[in-house]
Amino acid sequence: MIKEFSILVSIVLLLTGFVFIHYLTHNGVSSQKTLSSISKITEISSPSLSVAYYEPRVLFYEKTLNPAYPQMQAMNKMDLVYEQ
Amino acid sequence: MISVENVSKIFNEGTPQAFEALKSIDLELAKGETMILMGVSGSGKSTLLSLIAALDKPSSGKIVVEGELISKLPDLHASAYRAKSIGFIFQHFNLLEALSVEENVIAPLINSGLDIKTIKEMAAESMQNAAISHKASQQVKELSGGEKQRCAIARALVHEPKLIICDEPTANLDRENSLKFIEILQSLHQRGKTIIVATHDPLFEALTFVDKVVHMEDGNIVGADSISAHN
Amino acid sequence: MNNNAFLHFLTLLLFKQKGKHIGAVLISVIIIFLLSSVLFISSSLQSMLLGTLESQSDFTVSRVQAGKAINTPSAWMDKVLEINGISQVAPRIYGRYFFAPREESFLLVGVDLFDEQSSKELRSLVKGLDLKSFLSTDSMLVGEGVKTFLSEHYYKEYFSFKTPQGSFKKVKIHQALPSGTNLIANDMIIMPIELAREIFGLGEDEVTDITFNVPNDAEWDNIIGKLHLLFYDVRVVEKREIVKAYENLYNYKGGLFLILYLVAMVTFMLILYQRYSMVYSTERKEIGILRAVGWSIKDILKLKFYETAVVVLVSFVLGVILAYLYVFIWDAPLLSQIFLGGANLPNHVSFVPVLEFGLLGSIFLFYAIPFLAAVLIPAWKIAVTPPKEAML
Repeated sequence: MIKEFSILVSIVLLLTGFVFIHYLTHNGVSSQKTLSSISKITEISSPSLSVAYYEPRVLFYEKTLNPAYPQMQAMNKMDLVYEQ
Repeated sequence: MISVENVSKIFNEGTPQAFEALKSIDLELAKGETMILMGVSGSGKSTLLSLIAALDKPSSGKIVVEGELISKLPDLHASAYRAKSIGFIFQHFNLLEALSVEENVIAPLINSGLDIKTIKEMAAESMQNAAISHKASQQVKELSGGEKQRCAIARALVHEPKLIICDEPTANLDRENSLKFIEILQSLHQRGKTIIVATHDPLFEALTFVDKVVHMEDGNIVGADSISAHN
Repeated sequence: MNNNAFLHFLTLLLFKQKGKHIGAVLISVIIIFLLSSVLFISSSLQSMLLGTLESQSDFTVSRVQAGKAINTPSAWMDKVLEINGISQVAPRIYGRYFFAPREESFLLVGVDLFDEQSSKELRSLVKGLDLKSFLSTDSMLVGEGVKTFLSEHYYKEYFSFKTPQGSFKKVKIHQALPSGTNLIANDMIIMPIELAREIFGLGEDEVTDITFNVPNDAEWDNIIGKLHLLFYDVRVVEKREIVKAYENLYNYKGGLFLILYLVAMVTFMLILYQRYSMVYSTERKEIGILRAVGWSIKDILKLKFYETAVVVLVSFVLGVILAYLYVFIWDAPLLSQIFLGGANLPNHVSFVPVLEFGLLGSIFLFYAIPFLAAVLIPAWKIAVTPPKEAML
């Protein structure tokens, strides 16, 4: 085995080791607990997705308003979901 | 050592482009002898060499080397035979350009089961014999024609083969390098190696250590001189 | 010991001909990095959201009028509680408050802070929260995204909400929620329930919707039927629907992922084609030479197999490791915006490491097997031709 190859293998092993140690020692439980805690307080568990209120719910699917009934909102608007 | 009996080789057999490169060749060569195959390009010298080296199979006939019928060997055995008994020196050197001289020389021994240290020792000795030790770590693509030829010789000799086959070895060399090559060939002859050289270089015609000169033309042997009296 | 020489020669060829491999390795690393990053983010988000959902109520009911959700009468709570098998009925008061000039919106949530459980939970979540001072003035707790947005617009200590009556309600920004809650609470504002009612113009007898649990899941469909009989204008949202919605939202089998797979596959085909034709052109002579110096077909295939296996393994491991570092250590800048959105309040979420080994394994197989085939098949074809022809 030539030296360059040994170096490459050691780098890859080192990185893999680091990733595994990080994975095994990461405290996922406390992150989950924080999230559960806020959703217990507020009773809300939906993710805070940063979508604009006028964004269509389905990507690339935007049904324009019917000009004959301007007061009627299109059914695919986010505000329909979020409105109180 | 080598016995070639009634060997023919037809390329593209069974097609309209079929071409008979060798026509019922018979040849004998004893152990330790040196034979020169003379003839113009296309006379069938290279084809005969590749059959003897088990790089290809004859269409008919028998080739026996040291009691082993090599004309019918399956791949695994043919490779083992090449790895053990044959040192082939090609006209175009056929070296691995990306590797250094030493790395090229060790190539035949990689699957020999020896450890790398022993292989490197054997390569060093072979490079010494071929007078290329000083370029051991240089990349092949940086070498001159003569140096490449010596690298090819070192590679052909590294596994101490009994039979050395050279196909137009001096075709790409100048006169000085060709003479050097002949010197190496002579020393190999003195070490008891069996040697076959296919060439049309006139330098080989009057060599004192040659036992046999065979002339070929259109896939036939047209004349054979036994000149062992010179020795 | 005999492997020693083979390994030496293998690594020698790999490094002396690195130009041959570097392109394939680089492109493979990029493809695998992209695929793994997307999968890491989606599985992390999915596991975090589903984990949070576990402790949530099974059902939510609200009143609809003309297909549109409206305020729900709180009297419904008593009626719901009368149905057998239902427990933990609770009202929710929340809604989006639009900051019209910038077309941004916050999620306003009213919380009953006199409830023992909620206040205890809140105190343990928000370190150093002084509930007394919080309740003494009109105050709110804001998510990190809201906090940043408001301070950018010079609402550093107070924000004035516009009530439906046309008056302004000045509310103190008491504290920010911890960044660990960002996935859910980035755009959230938590305030006492009465204050939220005032801002939304909700009457004393109204709530936004009602949640409850049905511990026996065999009764779920039954309960839905009863609810519809009880109220003609009810909309029932089940937890299992939400679970499905989250799964669909971040499912690796749909939408954005399919486009990504397509791009990855086309690129991968190009690499394979390049490798395939390279074996035919530049490696032909090399194989011929090795055959001529005594290598058998088996030896050649062994060399090519290990050579490709090293390239495949190294690029796969590097791609996955880079993706891991990118997602779980650097929190996936840029790519996370695709998952969390960037139109309203930009969110910054720390992803919890989740590795789906089965999925990684299948990526590896889909990558490694065609790659090996693209090298081994032409190598074998060349190896079986007479060495003399191959060397030409």
